[in-house]
Amino acid sequence: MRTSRRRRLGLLLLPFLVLALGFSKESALQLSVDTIEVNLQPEVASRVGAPWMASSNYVSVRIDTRSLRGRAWRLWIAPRGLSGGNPTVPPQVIRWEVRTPFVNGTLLPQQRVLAGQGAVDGQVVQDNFIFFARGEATGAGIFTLPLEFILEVVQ
Amino acid sequence: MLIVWPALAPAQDVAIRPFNVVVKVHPYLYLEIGTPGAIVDQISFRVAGLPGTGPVRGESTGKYPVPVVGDGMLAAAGTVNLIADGSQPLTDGMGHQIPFSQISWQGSGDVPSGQYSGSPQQIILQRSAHKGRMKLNGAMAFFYNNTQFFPAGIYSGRVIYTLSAP
Repeated sequence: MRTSRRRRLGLLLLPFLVLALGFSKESALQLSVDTIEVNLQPEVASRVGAPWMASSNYVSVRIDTRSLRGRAWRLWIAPRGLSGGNPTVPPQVIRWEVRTPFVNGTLLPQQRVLAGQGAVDGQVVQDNFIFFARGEATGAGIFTLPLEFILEVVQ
Repeated sequence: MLIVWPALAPAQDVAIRPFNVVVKVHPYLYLEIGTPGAIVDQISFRVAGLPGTGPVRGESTGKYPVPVVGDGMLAAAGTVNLIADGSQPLTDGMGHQIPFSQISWQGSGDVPSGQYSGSPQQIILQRSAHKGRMKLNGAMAFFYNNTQFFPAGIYSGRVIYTLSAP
């Protein structure tokens, strides 16, 4: 009697367990970012009045739409925690360049900026985000802008 | 009356990946006197009058008056110095010399007027600066004072400028 009840409980829980495992696998595959830190350094010796930032290493982004459930996807970049970042290096001096279906953009304080969009068509899209900064530095130092990629699915 | 609202497609965040952009701004100093780059401008004086007949204005192979441009990102507040080394006199290759103290300049912008002292560490310009961005902009028009007799000939020499900051 007890064994039968356990078996029935197990059969009831099984679909939920499979579903949970499925979601876990999807989450890991949808958006892959291989770099957690990108460094920007100024080209100081170039010439007077030149922009103070140079290009940098890149962030490689990979989106596997096979594991997405929806009609379309959108990728955003936003200051992490929407904190506005460090006032010495405002987010709007940072921009990125990338190829389609991703789009070039410039960071904005306290809001997300579109970084790419496309159809959920079973394709894998991947590219390198190259970051730049242009503007007048007000002081020497090391400034960290915490950011995040946000993948959104439109139903 | 029936009002039909268009259905808004709901969107949902499905993945978030954090990363950091690190901006490294290092302290630096940049000095440009005359033509930018590796070119060394030459100032020449055509001395036709006798000593005491007045200073002779120079001519440059580059822009004239000679631009003086400084740029820097200072790690700390302190004193910025523009130093000239005119300790090696002008020579004609025949053993004759003219000291750099025979040459003066009329400054403009951030650069004050003055005269070379012949010192290897002559302060041409001094100012206090805040931590952070520092800029200098000025120009120098040079004159041969023409106050002493020297044997006729072509004399040449070089002044080296150094910009220093904390």
